[in-house]
Amino acid sequence: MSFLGHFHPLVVHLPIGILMIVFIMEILQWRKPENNLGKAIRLSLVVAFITGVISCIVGFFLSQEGGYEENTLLLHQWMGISLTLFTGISWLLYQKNLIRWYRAGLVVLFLALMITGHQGGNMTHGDDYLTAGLPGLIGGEVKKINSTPVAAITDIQQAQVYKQLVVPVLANKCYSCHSSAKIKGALRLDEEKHIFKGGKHGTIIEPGNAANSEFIKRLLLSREDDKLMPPKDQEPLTKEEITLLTWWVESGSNTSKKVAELNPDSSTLVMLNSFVANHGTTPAQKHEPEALSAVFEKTVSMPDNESVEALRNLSVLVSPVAQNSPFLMVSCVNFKEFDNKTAQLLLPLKDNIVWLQVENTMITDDALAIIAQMPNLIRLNLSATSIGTEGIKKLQALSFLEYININHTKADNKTLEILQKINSLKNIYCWKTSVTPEAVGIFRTQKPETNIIQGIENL
Amino acid sequence: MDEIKKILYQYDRRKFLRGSAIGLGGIALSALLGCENDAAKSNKKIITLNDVDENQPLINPHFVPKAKRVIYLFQSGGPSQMELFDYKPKLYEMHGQEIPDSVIGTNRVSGMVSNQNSFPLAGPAATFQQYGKNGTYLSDLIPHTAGIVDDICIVKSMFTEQINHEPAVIFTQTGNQLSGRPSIGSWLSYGLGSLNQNLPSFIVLISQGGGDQPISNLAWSNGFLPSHHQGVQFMTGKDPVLYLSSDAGPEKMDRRRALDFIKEFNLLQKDQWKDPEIDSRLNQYEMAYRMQMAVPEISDLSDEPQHILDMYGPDVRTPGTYAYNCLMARRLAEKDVRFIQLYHLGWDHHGSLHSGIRKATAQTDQASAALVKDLKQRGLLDDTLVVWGGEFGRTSFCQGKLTQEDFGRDHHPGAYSIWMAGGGIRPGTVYGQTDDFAHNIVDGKVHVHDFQATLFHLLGIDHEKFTYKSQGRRYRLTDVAGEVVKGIIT
Repeated sequence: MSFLGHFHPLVVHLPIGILMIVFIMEILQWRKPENNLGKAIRLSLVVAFITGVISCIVGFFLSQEGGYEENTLLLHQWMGISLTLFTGISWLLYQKNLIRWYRAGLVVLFLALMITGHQGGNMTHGDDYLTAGLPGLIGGEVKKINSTPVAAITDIQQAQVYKQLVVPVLANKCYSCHSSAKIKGALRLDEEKHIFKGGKHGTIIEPGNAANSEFIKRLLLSREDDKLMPPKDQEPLTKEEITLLTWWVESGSNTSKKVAELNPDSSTLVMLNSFVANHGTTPAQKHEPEALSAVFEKTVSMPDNESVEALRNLSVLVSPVAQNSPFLMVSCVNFKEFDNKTAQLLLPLKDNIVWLQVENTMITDDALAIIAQMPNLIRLNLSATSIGTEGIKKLQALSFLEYININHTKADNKTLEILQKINSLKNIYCWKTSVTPEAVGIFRTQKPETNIIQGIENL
Repeated sequence: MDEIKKILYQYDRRKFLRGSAIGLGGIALSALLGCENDAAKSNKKIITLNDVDENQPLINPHFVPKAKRVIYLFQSGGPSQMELFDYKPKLYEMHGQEIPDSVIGTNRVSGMVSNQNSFPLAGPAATFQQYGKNGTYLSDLIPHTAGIVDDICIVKSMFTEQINHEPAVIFTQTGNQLSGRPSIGSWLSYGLGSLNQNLPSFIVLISQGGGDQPISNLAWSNGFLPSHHQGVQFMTGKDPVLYLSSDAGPEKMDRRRALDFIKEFNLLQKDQWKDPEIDSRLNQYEMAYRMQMAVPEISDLSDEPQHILDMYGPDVRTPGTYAYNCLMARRLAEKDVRFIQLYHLGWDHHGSLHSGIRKATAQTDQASAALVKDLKQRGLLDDTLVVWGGEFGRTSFCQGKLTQEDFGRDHHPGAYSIWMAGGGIRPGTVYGQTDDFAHNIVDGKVHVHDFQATLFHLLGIDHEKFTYKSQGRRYRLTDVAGEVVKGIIT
């Protein structure tokens, strides 16, 4: 629909142009009736009416898109519709040969057309688009957006609240619709005097009272609210930006003071500091990204349903790690009888399994030959099974394995040597095994980045 | 007309009218646009007969989770942050002086101190030392917790809006101060389901011998979710779940047959009445049947070696103590129970704080730390989130008479401390900061809803997308607020 809407500025010129021709023809006809333009005028009126209707329809779609000042829009909409109807009526009057009525109507039509057209132009290009080129003549003010670079803030206490903190936010997020280039809602935010003058609905800032200032209220509306600023398709203000503007209004919306002069309390200072530190980024990005295995970036086909069901029938828990994810978590917590033979059932899912819990089951080293074929395995819990070094040897090719639990198994110092070769390992659990504390000590000096945990005594 | 019939008739009339209105509209529209097939192709439903359809459990998390299960060690009553985690040396210096007006500001005080005309500060009833790699100051009342400081993240900047126990507990557990919403465990049980079908996914353990402040079962209520998602309270003693043991009862096969027979009746009922609670009932029968196997195994501690029992402290042998429940929590975590909720009462020290807090820490410190260590050595801490915290903090000024030996502290919602460990929490960190009086937060405020959002995030759930429609409104655990605290997540 919005695609059609965008045709409004284009289509609308058809009825405008045709009506202009009607006026010219009508004047010619009036001056010199023998011109015999009657048929042409009649046809033109019909075509102007039809294209007018089309313009109204696409115009309506355009209005649904939002982003226009409501009252201007409404006026323009009804003027446009009336104009079209008037065109139709003019044609009827012409048909009925009520020429004098028709001509009087045409004069009104002409004036209305000028006004509606001008309105539309202003809505599209901004209120002072037309007059901007005539300095001092009609009063249109020519002023470029203040683009002087803002001095970098070194000490937050010495920063100019308005110039160095508030203006950059406005320039970034508001000027595109509320400055000399485009003045939606008759509101300009690019200069102090305009900010305090307000817009179509009066002043927008009540110094010292953010809760009563439209300037702040509009920022806090829900995403669905048509009055939300910036509108929903525009980049919203960050939480810190909103807090900053609120604090500025709350502290009297002074335009010349420094931060220190407004006596910010400690939590405001923290906010300001983080605002300066994050300016232009969202606060979430200042933290390190969450650690997530590279496996999850891989493309793997979805697991085979039959194989999943076969495991589930044995009450083995099989579930995707997340919605629509091909990666699986498999747990035998309810199926202690799981053994080397049933482990074969895992094979069709070998690319999908990332977390595998086979603790307390009957598996032996042979099952690890199957587990070794799971290239994307991240977590493996083998505790309380009868696996040992021979089995672990098979796992060396697992390049994403981060967690291995061999508590309460036949693992020994040799096992640890093998695990040392798996570089991706982050956590090794080898409690209740024959692994000696000395071997753990050596491991720790050689691979300090891997956590190795061997029971409370050694924590 | 009885209640059920009323519901049934109402259901039919409303649903029929709405269904047919939307249905006819939809048919007319699709005919107009000539796109009958498009409706089927696209996922958009034109005809919706039942908005219960909208309530679908997530089944799988929204994104890859860090934690699979949660152990929530709820310390009910409002543990004092100044005696435990939030070291404020200035309070010793200013003992007996009035709390500055600039600090107390317009903050709300409870009815219990609002008639006090003096608010003298009280120096902490504990000494502090530095512990761990980062030299975190911790109270000498919690030496065992101090021993795991490198494994936990202490959040000093929690705050809530509630100042009285019941609403504050309900708020922390359900996201709303009034009862009637589902608690965190119920949301998870409903949303993610069970990891072990032989045990409930939400189990509640309440320790005995804490204090007299009661805890209401509304805190583990299922709210508007189907009732089999409410927390299953394990009782104290030999029989954690009542009427499960069938020593002299029927044979297992007979039990099965009886249950199957009852199930047929229930399904008939359901066909007729369409009451979703019949599903819950069926579910509970089946769960009880399966628990007959699983629960005795869980509650039999005979396989626990001596050194493990010692780790949890001497109380561990007494069923119903906090230490016993911590051990149970570990055993349940090993069985992949999704949400294990402990409650310890006895943190409400309006008077006699010195003795009161020593009793509470003696009951909880060792076992809490032991639980974290035990989970860690078993390799369970990586995907188990452990939370230790209450419903609010306490005032730095004194309630009642301030003497050199003793005093009390009132409820304080404006700032309190909790700790979390495992399951994607950044270990060995301290988050947030309060002023010199532990009264106001100066950095890193964490609201209860932020905490809840973070908890869900660690379990792979986007708290804004996980909703349930009830009585015409979509509800979330975090209501309309909550931001994930990224700073405490690895």
